[in-house]
Amino acid sequence: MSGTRRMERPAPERPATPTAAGATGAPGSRPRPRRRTVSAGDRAIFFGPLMVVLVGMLAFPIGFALYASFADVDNLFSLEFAGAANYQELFERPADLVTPFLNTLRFVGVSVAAALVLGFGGALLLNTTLRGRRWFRSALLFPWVIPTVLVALLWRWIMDSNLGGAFNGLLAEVGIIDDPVSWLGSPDWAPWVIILAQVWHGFPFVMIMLLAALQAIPDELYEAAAVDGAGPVRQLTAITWPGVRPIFVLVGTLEGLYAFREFATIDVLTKGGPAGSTEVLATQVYRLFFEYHQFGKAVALAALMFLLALLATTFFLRLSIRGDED
Amino acid sequence: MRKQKNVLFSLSVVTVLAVTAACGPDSSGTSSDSGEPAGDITVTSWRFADPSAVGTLHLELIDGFNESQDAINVTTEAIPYNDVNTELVNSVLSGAPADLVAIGPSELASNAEYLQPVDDFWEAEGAEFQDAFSETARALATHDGQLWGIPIEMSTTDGMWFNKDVLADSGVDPEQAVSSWENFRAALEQIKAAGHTPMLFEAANATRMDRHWSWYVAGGADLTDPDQYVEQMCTPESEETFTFLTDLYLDGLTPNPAGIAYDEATRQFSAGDVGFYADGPWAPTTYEAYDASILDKLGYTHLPPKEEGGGYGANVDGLLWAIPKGSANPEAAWEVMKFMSSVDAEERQAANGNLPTRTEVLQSAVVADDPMLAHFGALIDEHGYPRPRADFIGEFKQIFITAYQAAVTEQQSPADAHASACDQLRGL
Amino acid sequence: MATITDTAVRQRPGRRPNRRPRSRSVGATGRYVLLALMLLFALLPFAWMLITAIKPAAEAYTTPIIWWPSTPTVENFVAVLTKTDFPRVVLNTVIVAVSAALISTTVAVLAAYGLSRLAGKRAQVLMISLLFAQMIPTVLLVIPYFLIFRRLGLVDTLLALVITNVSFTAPIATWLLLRFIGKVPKELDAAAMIDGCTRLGALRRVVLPAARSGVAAVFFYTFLVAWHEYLFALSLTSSPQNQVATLSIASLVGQYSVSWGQLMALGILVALPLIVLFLMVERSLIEGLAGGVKG
Repeated sequence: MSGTRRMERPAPERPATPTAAGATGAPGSRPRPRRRTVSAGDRAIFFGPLMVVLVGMLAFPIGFALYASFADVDNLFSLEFAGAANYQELFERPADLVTPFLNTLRFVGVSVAAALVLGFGGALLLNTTLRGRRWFRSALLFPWVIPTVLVALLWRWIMDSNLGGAFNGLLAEVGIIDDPVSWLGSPDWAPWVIILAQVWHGFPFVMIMLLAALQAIPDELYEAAAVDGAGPVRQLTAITWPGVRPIFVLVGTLEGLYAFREFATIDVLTKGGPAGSTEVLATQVYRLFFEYHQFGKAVALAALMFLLALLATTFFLRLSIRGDED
Repeated sequence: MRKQKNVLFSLSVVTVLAVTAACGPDSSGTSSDSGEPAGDITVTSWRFADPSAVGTLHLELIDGFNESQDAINVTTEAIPYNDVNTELVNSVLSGAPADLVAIGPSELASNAEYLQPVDDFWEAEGAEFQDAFSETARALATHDGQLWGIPIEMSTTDGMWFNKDVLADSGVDPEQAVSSWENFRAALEQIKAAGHTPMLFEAANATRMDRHWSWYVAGGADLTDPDQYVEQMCTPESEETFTFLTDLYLDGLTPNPAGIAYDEATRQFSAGDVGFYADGPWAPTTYEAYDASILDKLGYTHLPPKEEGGGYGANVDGLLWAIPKGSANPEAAWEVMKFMSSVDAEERQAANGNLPTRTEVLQSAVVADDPMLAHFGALIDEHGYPRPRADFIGEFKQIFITAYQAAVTEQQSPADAHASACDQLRGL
Repeated sequence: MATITDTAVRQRPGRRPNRRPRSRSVGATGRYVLLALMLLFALLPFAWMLITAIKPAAEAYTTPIIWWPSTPTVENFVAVLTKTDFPRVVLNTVIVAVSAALISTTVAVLAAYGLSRLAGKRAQVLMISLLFAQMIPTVLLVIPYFLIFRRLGLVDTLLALVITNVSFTAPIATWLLLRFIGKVPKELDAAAMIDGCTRLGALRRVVLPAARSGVAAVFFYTFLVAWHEYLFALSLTSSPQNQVATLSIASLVGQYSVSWGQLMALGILVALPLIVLFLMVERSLIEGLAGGVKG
């Protein structure tokens, strides 16, 4: 819809090239040429590089990893075919998989939900006429730009279990606690601390994307709604939400995928402990592979993770596509 | 805009050129078939990155080696301590490992697949070289009947350090405190009553299990035979030890061990309000970096035996240079190893609180005149046993530490936690 | 007045068009309070990072906690700068991140254009496969990559890191760019082609400028992802001259001790260029994202 509107004012694109301006003056002046004339050369130019990446840099390594899950990799990563032996071994103790699986669900579910809520709330707040909102916006995005390894180390330092730790120190200062709490040493708290770190790092990206989506909603819609007597809640559900929904699903899916395979945050903060309360599938794969050297189980579990992610992503994208069509 | 794009384009060209130019040959190591070893080799160690003095010393030693001769050129690579395993496994499986790596002797068993034995090199050096190293040290480097490197340090983490001021303030006599578990507990309670933190104990992650073994030894376990580890750790006596240790937390005598890793423990101890903390002979060098004032208050003794007059253990580990499987230039790597274990190098290491592996240095004034080193030397001599090692040890430790965490966080009773750990251990 | 591009153009310094009627329900004070709370959440950890970095060693960890150093010091920064080869580390990271972002963005521009203009039935399949890279645990990709790079003689080169980063970022960049380029009216490049441009020419001279803020946004995003990457850097590079920032941070965590003051100092040194860069591109980043997501 705004595509056509954009046509009326190609001005922003202006300084670009004179041709651009000239070209926009021209549309329709001559009958359109080609169509159906996608030459092989064009294909090579436009899709070639991506295909190189997809096939050479993704399909091959992923295929390799998937194949490895059916190979005798326990034997110093031998690639001899071994059937489903790795999977059998993995499922010998299914109980070992349940806790990490549930932990993963909690970690992904809660951190994505929290990042979406916080990001959406922030976007709504920033999408107003508040003075200094540009400053707010810049500052709120800072956590996004620092590397994950550093994020995790920083939170470990803050969540130190002694009163010398910033968080405990702060709580003690305001009188909420007398004795320090071992945040990372308690199965009740540790899962929430890793979620906190993940949300802190992740919400700005959600916010910036949703802010962009909000700003793209034409004001006319709100004006018209206001004329019709729609209240703020009604405006939110009838205009704002449908406007941001596709992006909401998109960033939710992306954040979910990143959380699903997140390893560094958890490894640095808790190493999966205490008592397995923060062990997720990604850290388990890592542990099986590098600490126990059980390559077969590790690659089999990783392949299952891949499958799981694939299913979940397809599901959410369906949702998104349907949303687009609405 | 176009100008900007052109700039970007030329930038990218330059970048690509710069990057390609940086591509070296696959491996520059060349092993000469005849004569002296020569070539470029890579040495990786987490020590190189260590902020304390031990890290810089190792870098200095390598520099010294490079200056001492022209044939071999050593490049050092610092790897993060937590990623030693990742780096070793990755690089060996993919066929491009470093030529020399630093490793803890107790990690030999689980990493032997990725290393190569060096018996031939030892053999070629002759009897005099071999005999220069202490029996204990050579045993540390041995796995499966073969030698895997040259050990350059020996140490135990099972010395008991204490804060003299805290103990004095609580009216605790350290020697009386470590005379038995019962007296130890009583001392901890006294320290607690005086308003200090009685002791620190760590169980944040699997590697911390190494700080627990000796309590089980004091409790009656015999951890000298890997085939017996599971059985020994699952006896009623060991369950008692498990309960004794977890009760320390449950009774408020130590902060939650499930949340305490080494760096946090040392930091807390250095801050000066903690009574006891078991640690190795390098402790002063490490604590100093946090808070130099701790040095005046430091005292050391041994772990408490279960009963008065009873035995207690000191797990012995250290540092070993080893050659990854597939190293391009093992000959040169051996030369570097020898240099790193020379008399001079060992003396300098001793100054940093690491016991030497050469008998000559062990018996020299450097160690003998340093009462702290001598104390730890005696601990190893009289109570030492090799830190538990086996190919399954990683999982073993993880299971046990998880049980420990489950007990101290009251998810399971100590007895149940211990029992379910043993169930899992038997399945290994 | 729908497009964000327009808004941004009109919104030059000082002028704030008063045109957002909603959220009136929450009073301005309430909104400020909420924003301030979020700001605290976002920035307090940074504040603690800074305070730790400028504390003398003796005050870094005390009970009760010392909230502000008695004499702020730069000793941690000095130590980090002398200990790590900081300029080289930053240069390496910049080389890797910029190259990866450049390549990814180029690949993405071409492919996104192709998908929006030329693709047939198979576009959907291609698009789903773009997400594949985001799904498999990184651990598992390390070994295949190592094997490939070894064969190519690329182990321990920055080029290896550029390639692996591209493999992660190019697909996601294409995905994001698709929205931007899809929004550029097809008539624009059709017209350019009538004027004698080739397709590539039309892309370069008409479509690219029209979508440039989107391209900038995607460039920055891929740059950031590459800058943050850790596991590949750990596994695929070894020599100090190829060390990148994330690795440098991790290696300060020693076996015996962690100097938190130094760690935080290094963290600030690493984060600062990113934040400065971010502030520089922020406007076009947000413009770009908005341009891409608008309906």
